[in-house]
This record gives sequence, structure tokens and C-alpha cells, in this order.
Amino acid sequence: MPQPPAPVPAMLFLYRRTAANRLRQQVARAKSPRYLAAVVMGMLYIWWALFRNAQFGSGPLAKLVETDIAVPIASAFLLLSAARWWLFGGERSALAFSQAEVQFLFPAPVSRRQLVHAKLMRMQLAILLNTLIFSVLLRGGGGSVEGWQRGLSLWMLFSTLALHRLGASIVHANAMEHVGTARRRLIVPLLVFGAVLAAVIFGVVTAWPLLRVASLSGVKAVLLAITDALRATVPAAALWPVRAVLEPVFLGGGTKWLAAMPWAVMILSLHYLWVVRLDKAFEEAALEATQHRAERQRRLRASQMGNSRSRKGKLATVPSLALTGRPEMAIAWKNVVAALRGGAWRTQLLTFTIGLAALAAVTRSASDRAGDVFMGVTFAWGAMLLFIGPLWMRFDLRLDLPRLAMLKTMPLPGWRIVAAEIAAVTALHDVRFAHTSAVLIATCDMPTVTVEHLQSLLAMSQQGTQRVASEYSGPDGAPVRGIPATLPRADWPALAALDGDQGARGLLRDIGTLTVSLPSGHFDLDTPSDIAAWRTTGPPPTP
Amino acid sequence: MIDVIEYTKLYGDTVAVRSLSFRVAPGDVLGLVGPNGAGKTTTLRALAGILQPTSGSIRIADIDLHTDPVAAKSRLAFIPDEPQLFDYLTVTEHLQFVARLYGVQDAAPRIPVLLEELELTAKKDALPTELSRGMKQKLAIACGLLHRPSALLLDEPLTGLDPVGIRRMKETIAARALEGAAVILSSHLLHLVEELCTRLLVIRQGQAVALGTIAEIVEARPELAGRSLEEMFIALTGDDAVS
Repeated sequence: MPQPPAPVPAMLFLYRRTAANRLRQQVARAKSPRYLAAVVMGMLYIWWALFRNAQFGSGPLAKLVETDIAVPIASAFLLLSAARWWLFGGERSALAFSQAEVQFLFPAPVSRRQLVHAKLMRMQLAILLNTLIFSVLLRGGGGSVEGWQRGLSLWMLFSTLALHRLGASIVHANAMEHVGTARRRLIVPLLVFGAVLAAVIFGVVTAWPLLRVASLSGVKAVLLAITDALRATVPAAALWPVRAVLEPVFLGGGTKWLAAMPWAVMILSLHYLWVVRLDKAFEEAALEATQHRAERQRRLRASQMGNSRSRKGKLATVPSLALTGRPEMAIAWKNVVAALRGGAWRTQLLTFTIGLAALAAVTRSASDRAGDVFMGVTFAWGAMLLFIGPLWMRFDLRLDLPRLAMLKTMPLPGWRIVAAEIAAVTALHDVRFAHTSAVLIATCDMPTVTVEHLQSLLAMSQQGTQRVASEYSGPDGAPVRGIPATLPRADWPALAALDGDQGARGLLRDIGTLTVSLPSGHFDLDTPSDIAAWRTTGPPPTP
Repeated sequence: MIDVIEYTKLYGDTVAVRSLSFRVAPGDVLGLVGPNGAGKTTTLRALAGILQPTSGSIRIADIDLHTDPVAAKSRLAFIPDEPQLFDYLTVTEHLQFVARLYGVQDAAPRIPVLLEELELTAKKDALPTELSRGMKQKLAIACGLLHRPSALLLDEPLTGLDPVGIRRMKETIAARALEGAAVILSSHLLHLVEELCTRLLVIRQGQAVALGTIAEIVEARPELAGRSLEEMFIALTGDDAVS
């Protein structure tokens, strides 16, 4: 008589042995000085990121916990995250298993409910790690709360969120797979969720006039105004379940914490009961999620982050390759095609632009000086290129390294192959540059230049087709044209032919140049003493 | 031992498998053949309990897979075409994991025997990264055989094996059938199907176009008489085939 199947001990065995074998392999690797150095650096980083916070007193996160705005703002943030899971079906990765787990667990005598439990157990690995990290980060904050209380509260919060995300993914996947009853079943949670969201939006809209007033006094005032808005009866009632799981993390220890815990336990228990009863079509949804994740990982490995075809099924147009000529051109062409069809550069450029815009907005709120904005953006751009620049263009040599054996069979010496792979990055920059209609030239030593002035230049350039210069008074009082200036593509050959120290002034004197007045354009900063003088007395008067 | 009754699987409006019915008796080896995308893997996944049928039913050892999936699954093994193994479990630990998962009582003496049968003894402490494609396939099959399944579902079981490995694998599959297992084997290697299978199920676009022994198929379709299996396959599944 066989023993009853035991999936839970089997999974525990899997995780235990996996951890032990992994550790053994990593310890063996650390014998190599290169890996050992990496381990030491990693440990130093972890110490710096996690424990330095405690060594130097309460860190910014710990201090944030103690503020009154923390719970309402965090509640609203969590609600918005959950809204994304419901509206867009959660992230499918919430349902995904590893491919090996699919192969071994799905055909095994494991009930659907046990599969859900296996998934929950798997999620606990990440939850416990997050709990540990946040417990250390938040150490010292939140009044007199004990470490274990904070840890337990965080574990409950993360577990509730994970269950909610998993539940949303199952319901959504079920509704997408089936029609009729299952799809109708999705409507109920969507309606409930929509009502909660509407209540919160109602609270914010009602307090809109106050928010507008607060926006004049800075970010902190806005956050306080939002907090007040969320504390009104309707949004506060709607946000209660979210707040219930959050409060034990933020409240001080003792009776407050004890009073908050039962509600958090109740919300967690309800989520657990909901998810284990929501197991319809779990396997198929999980299988699809697993395949989707495997495909995504495959693409990431191949650095093809986007879709090769557009939604209409069209392939991106790429430059054609001559059938004769230097063979390395074929390699470079292949990589450019991969980049253009993969769409990775578009996604990255968009993300980068949004990041820069956000940075510019933040800097703008800190200071009205366009020079500061410009300096901030320039430094950020430089730093990002320094750190992620090499990663940004992932369709270079690394794309083909996994196929090294194939590269070695090519009738080319190694250095020519490497040169061809690297050339693709340069070529792609040129391809992107080809779409640029104009450049705006400005320097960071003109602190009086305002954002409005730059916007005026861009507006007058009419989509980059016109040359527009800044106009100000020179030392003799005569009008002078200079930078900031926009130069259309037609001017670039003339720019490339320039020499000497006069820059583009000759070009800007041309009769076709439009101008925008910049009264303090004569002023710039060349030395530290210039900066000191500017800080105390401001720019000198216009000549 | 494996009963499939009017099995249909839809993905939205797309029909993956339509009204498929067949039976595999103990000791039978059913060859599941068809062109790429015919629905072979979908059928095998449904038989393994991974995919839920849109309609119809599947019984493994007289147990309904839908109403009592745990009992039905404890009697079957599914070995997919691409072996997916746990990165950090050794060969032996994979078998130990499966033993626990299926509640195999005599796993301790059976594991070395299976490792020997599948020529994995020398690699028993190796991680999957240290195994060749063929060895991974053998390990996946060893894991599938450990609990002595009554129904064995093999998707392209010989992919990646060397000639000696192929011969061993054929012997292993035949031995399981002789012991009374019902075997379903999906493969594009028609000579293997001809050599190993007692019956054939040919599917095309999710529908059965032929079922039975080669003699039975020829009897139903006299125009196939005298043709090789490859010619029969092309005639049954080609564009001009009668569905």
C-alpha cells in the first residue's frame, strides 16, 4: 500500500535542498578571488544599505513611519496598486511557477488547493526576505514598537498584499479564459473595487480647492492636504480595510498595536479564505503565466524586450543590407535590426525621458532658477549614462555571446567580429540621430536662463525648422545674438565646419535667424569668485 | 486504462481539440502522431490533468480525472518533450523529491535500480547544469517511472538521446507496457512509432483522422494499402487529406 502523497513535505524538501546546494555552489565559487571580491563588495553594500541606517540613528524611512501622513498616503498608494491588478489582471507573474515546478507538480497527485498552497509557500520566500529588509530599514522608527512586532506586522501586510494580487490574477485569468458565469464573477469584485476607488477619488475631488491652495506652499503642504482629504468620512470608510493591515506597521507598540492587530489578522484571514476558494482553472492560468514568464525571460536574455511586430502585425522598417561587401557589416546590420525590431531603445528612451521630466519637475519646485534645473538635468543625464549607458544598448556583443560557438565558425578573425558587434551601437545612435530635426544648444554657466525662455525658443523654432537665437545687449550696448539657440538640421554641416573660438555666432548673425530677447544673456559664470558674487549680489545690470 | 470520451478543448473561439474519443488498454502502446500544431501536446497535457477539458471526460485507471484528480494523477506519469528540471537538485534528489510527492514506499531500493537502468548512476550527485540534453531526458523519464504509473504519457521521449540511449529507452517503454502500463507516445519519428506502438491515433487540426492498428487503418482506408507509414501519414494529414 503506497504512502499518501505528501506535497507539502516534498516542497519543503525541494526548498531545503535547493538552498543547501545553491549555497554550496556559491561557496565553491568564492574560492576564486574574483568572486570573493564580488561577495565582499556585495556584503559591504548590504551593510551600507541596511545597517548603516541603524548605526547613524533613525533613517529617513524610519522617520517617515512616525509622521501622521504615513498611513493615509500609504493606504491610497496600496489602493492604487491594487487597482492596477484588478483593471489589468494583476501581473501574470503572480501566478507563475518555475517550469520545473509545472513539470513535476502539475501532473502529480496534488490537489488544486494544494497547488495554491504550494504557490503561497513559494511566495513566502520573497515575503520573508522583504519583511527582514523592511524590519531593518524601519528599525528605530514608530515609537516604542518592538522589533518582533514590527516584523510580524510587516509579514502580515506583505502576505495580505501577495494574497490579494494572487486572487486578482486568478479571478482575472478565469474570466478571460471562460465566458458567462466566470466573467460575471469578475464584475462583482470590480464593482466593489470601483466603489472603493470612487470613494477615495470623491474625497480628493471634494478637497480640490484646498489642494490647489496647498500646492502653492510646497510638496509637504500638498501631502498634508491629501492626508486631510483622505481622513474625511467617505474616503476613510472606503480605505478602512487597507488601513487595517497598515496600521500595525505604523502604530507605536503596546495597547495601540494590540488593538490594531485583530483587524489586520481578520483581513489577512479573509484574503486567505478567498484565495483558497478561488481555485477554479488555477492550473491553466498558472501554466499560461509560467509560459509567459519563460518567454519574457528568453526575450530578456536575447535583449529583445519589445515585440518584433507591431500590433497590426507589421515588421519595423529597417535599412536593407547590400549582399556584397565587408562581412562584418552584416553583423552590425543584424544588431541594428534587432534593436529596431525589438523596440527596446524606444521603451528605454521613453522611460529615460519621463525620468528626466520628473527630475526637472522636482528641481523646478525646489528652485525657480533655470540654471539649477539645467545643471540638475545635466548631472542626472551624465550619471545615468555613466552607470547604465553600457546596459542601455544591450544589443551589442553580449547579444551574441551565448552563441559564441557560432561566432567562432564565421570566416572572420575575432577582432573583426568584436569590432562589428560594437559598431552596431554607434550605428544605432546614428539611426536615432537621423530622426532629430534640430538641436538646442545651451551652456550650464548661464544661471539666469529660465525654463520659459527655453520654451519660447522651442516654440518659435516651429518644430525645429527655424533657427532661433537669444538676443541681448553686448558690452557696447549693441544687440548680440547668442545661445541658448536652436539650430535646424540644415545648419549642421555649417556647424561641423566651424573652427576658432567664435562658436556659431557667425551663423546666428544670418538674416534668417529669429530671436527671443534674453535681457541678462550677457551674464555667465566662469570662476568660483563669479559664483560667490552672483550668490550675494545677483547678476550685474544690463549694459 | 486510459479512456478519453468526447474530449474537446477550446481557447476562446479557437478549437484546439474536437470530440476526441479513444481507449488505451493495459499493455497497449498508442502512437499519437500528427503534424505540428495538430493538438498532440494539448491532448497529452489534458490527459496529465494540466489542462481542463472544455467538454468531455478523461478516465485514468477508471478514475475520472475531473472529479478525483488526485487519485487519477497518482496513477499516471507525464514526461514532456523538453525536460524542465530544478536547477539546484541533484539527480538523486530529483528522485527523492518525486518519491515524496507521490508517496512511493519502496523508493530507497528503487532509486539505484532506476538510475542503473537509465545509465545515470555515474551522475547521481550531479546538478542538471552538469548533464547533457540526453541525460536530462533520462532523468525526467526516471522521475516519471519511479511510482510505477499505470498510464504513461510520453511527449517526444527520444529527443536528444544517442543511438544506445534510444535503444535503451525503447526497451524501457516496452518493458512498462509488458508490465501492464497503458502508454501513449507522441513522436514525429515514424519508424519508432511503427516499431514500438501497438496502435496509432493520427490527429489533424485537433480531430482524429485515423485510429487503430495499421491493418485496421488500412481496412478503413483501402487506398492506403501497400504504402509505408510515412506515406500514410502524409496522405492522412496533408492538405488534400479528407478530414
